[in-house]
Amino acid sequence: MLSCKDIARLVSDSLDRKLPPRQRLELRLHLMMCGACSTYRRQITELNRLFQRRFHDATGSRSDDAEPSPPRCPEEAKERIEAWLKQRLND
Amino acid sequence: MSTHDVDTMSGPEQWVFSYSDALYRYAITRVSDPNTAEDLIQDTLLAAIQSQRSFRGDSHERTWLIGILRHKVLDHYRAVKRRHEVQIGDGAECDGGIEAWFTAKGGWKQPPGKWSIQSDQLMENKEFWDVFEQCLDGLPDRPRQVFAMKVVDDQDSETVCKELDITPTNYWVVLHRARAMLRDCLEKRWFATEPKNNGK
Repeated sequence: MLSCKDIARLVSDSLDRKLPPRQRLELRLHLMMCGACSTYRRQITELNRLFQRRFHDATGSRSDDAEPSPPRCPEEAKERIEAWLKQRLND
Repeated sequence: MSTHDVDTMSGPEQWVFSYSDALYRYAITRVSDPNTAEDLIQDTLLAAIQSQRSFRGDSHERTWLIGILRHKVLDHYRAVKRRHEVQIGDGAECDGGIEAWFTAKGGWKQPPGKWSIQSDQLMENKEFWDVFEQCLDGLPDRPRQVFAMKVVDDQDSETVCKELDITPTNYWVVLHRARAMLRDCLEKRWFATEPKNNGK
């Protein structure tokens, strides 16, 4: 029998790859009986979907005019980078 | 309209103005130290300018720059690893207690809290994503790197294993740890206080 700790690991794996039939069955049976693991799986899955949406939108369909999401590069850092580049290019 | 007119700027000024935020955002998630992030952005922009491409300021150019930065970040990981001559922490020794969440038999000591996600609301919630960045930042190196490459960059497992030089078994464990620690951090710092957040 797999423990809740094992199940937490399988939950993560199952987001990215098809589990072998035996593990799939054990996962399903365990989730039917265990409220805590079911909650865990729902939250991990929902978070994963949220991250997909966030990062897909941010890198894929975001237009050039869109405000870049935080964190922004600090203004002082921009000035330092610019000064450094100018100096390097003049050398 | 912006008060800055990118066409009247000098070369370096154009590149910094147009791309430093996007590059910073990419770098800081992966190296967590602002000074290191700044160095990596400098090197990336220098490489770009020295490639003699004329400035275009479009999204293809940004993708190209992120590609350069990605290699700079990986070089940085390798240099750190060499310098310390130790494995970068995979989170197993300092995971802030994944092991401690379970009893010796592997049952939940502290089961997950009862919350669920309103994803439309959260997508637009700046405070939530600030907390997320802080949680990601707080992960040990390996889980943070694996999470960033796999989930943020959407790279396939083989590429992540190859570039970070880890075994597939290690990869799956570390990715699981990253997700578990992020979930836990977000629960403590956001979802456990949700009535407050909903009442905004």
